[in-house]
Amino acid sequence: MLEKIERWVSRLPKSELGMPILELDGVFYTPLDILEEVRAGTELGERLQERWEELRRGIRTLHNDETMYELARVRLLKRLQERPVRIMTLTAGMPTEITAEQLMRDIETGGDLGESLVKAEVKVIQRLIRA
Amino acid sequence: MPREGVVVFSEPSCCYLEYITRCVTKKVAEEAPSYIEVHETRGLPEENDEALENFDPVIFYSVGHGQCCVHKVENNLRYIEVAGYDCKVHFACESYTEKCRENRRLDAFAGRVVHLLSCVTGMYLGPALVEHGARAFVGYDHLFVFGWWAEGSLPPPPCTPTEPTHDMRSAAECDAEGVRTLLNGGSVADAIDAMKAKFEEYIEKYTTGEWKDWPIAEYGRMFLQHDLDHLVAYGDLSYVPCPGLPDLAIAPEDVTISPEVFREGDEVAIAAIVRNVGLVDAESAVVRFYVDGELISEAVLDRVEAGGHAYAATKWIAVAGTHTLTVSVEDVEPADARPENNTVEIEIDVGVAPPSPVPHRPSARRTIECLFPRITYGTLMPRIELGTLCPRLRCLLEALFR
Repeated sequence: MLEKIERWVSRLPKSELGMPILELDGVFYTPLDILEEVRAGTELGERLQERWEELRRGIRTLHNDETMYELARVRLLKRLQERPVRIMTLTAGMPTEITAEQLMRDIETGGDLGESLVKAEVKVIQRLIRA
Repeated sequence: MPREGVVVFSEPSCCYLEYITRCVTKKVAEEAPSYIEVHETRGLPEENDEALENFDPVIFYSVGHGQCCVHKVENNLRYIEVAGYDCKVHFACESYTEKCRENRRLDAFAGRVVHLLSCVTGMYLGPALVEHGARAFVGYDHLFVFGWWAEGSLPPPPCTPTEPTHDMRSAAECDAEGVRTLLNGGSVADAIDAMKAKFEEYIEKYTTGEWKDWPIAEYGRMFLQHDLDHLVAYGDLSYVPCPGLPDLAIAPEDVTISPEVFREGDEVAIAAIVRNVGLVDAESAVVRFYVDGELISEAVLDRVEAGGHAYAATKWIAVAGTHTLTVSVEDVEPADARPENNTVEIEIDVGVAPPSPVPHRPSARRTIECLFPRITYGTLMPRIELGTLCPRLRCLLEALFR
């Protein structure tokens, strides 16, 4: 069982190791947190692994959907703050170039692009869980 | 009806659009099969209008800025528009509104496939175009993010390759895969599948592949996922706007000369396999055999299916000296996609001395019959009915030991 988690962590991008990827009882855990708990053989580790496997199998529940959305939002904001990016879009009537600060504001206020990016991030998390 | 196999690319360069048009769209245009007629414009409305009128293209591919009801081209000029919508975007606590009050060129695309690489045009403009007779529409129903780079630096100049700190191309390349598929004989549905596959390929690169540890990787996978999620298509998705052409091909290894050793005066069998590596069936073709430029025989091929092959053969009485044998596939119907792979030339040396006696050596005619049991002979025009090679060995052995 530990092997599975170790193999998964080794496949992940390095930037993901310290990013929250899974929620349990209202707490977000990073891949390194999960690995540490599973290695230590704790009860929490066992539960984290169960949850990880549930998500890997793609089991959808309302709880999963809601927490995934919140998790994606937290991840995006954390990333934009720590490693800011600029982007260009093909939109008419608003600026083509968009800053990280504008993106953060849009995510925090539920703007059109922010909402849509959070939804995309949910799918990215699912891809990473299945990596 | 618009002309199949004819395409207009609208390629504006203002307002950051050259990131896409100069580096990605032009490449697709350059790589189009030679039988496709590609016309590129600078994205000016009058140039686009002229191209539509003069060339009557079946595909209109345009890069521009957009909103739910409007597609803008060079100098941010409104080019296609559907009236009656206010596109409101709430972004970073501000509201941007694009109002559409007139129908602009909606009827100019009847019968055509319209692919708009721009934001949000898939929401109302795309469906309106199809309602007004466009054969199909491909676009996006949300913002299209086409470039991302680490903050603190300027955006890289257009056409800079994707690097760990910036990517101004991948999203556009995923989009361009659609039009590339159409140009190569795919349906609109095939184009959508190809675009999705390209998005998946790049997302994988950024997630578990070679780019996964790049500084911009975590953004790359998210923005590409976002663009992929908002790809839309309407209309007749089974439509194939550039049905393609047959591509009959012949290679030196497809020509067999039998027997391998012969001398002046011997009857020699020459056989050729003609392959159709194109997208559609060839209805007919003629295989001509020349020695030193002089026609010695020809064979008519009735039909060669796409991906299939046919045989042609002839016989020749060897003449001493060095000769050039040319096997050429000609008069292909419909026209051949790449005539450059239709001819093979082989040097033949024929010795003067009589061959050493070989009892029971099969005649050339016999050998042809061995190779292609269902060939029927005319005087100079053997008619080929797609022989099979299965009995070849048995037949040759019978001839040798008879």
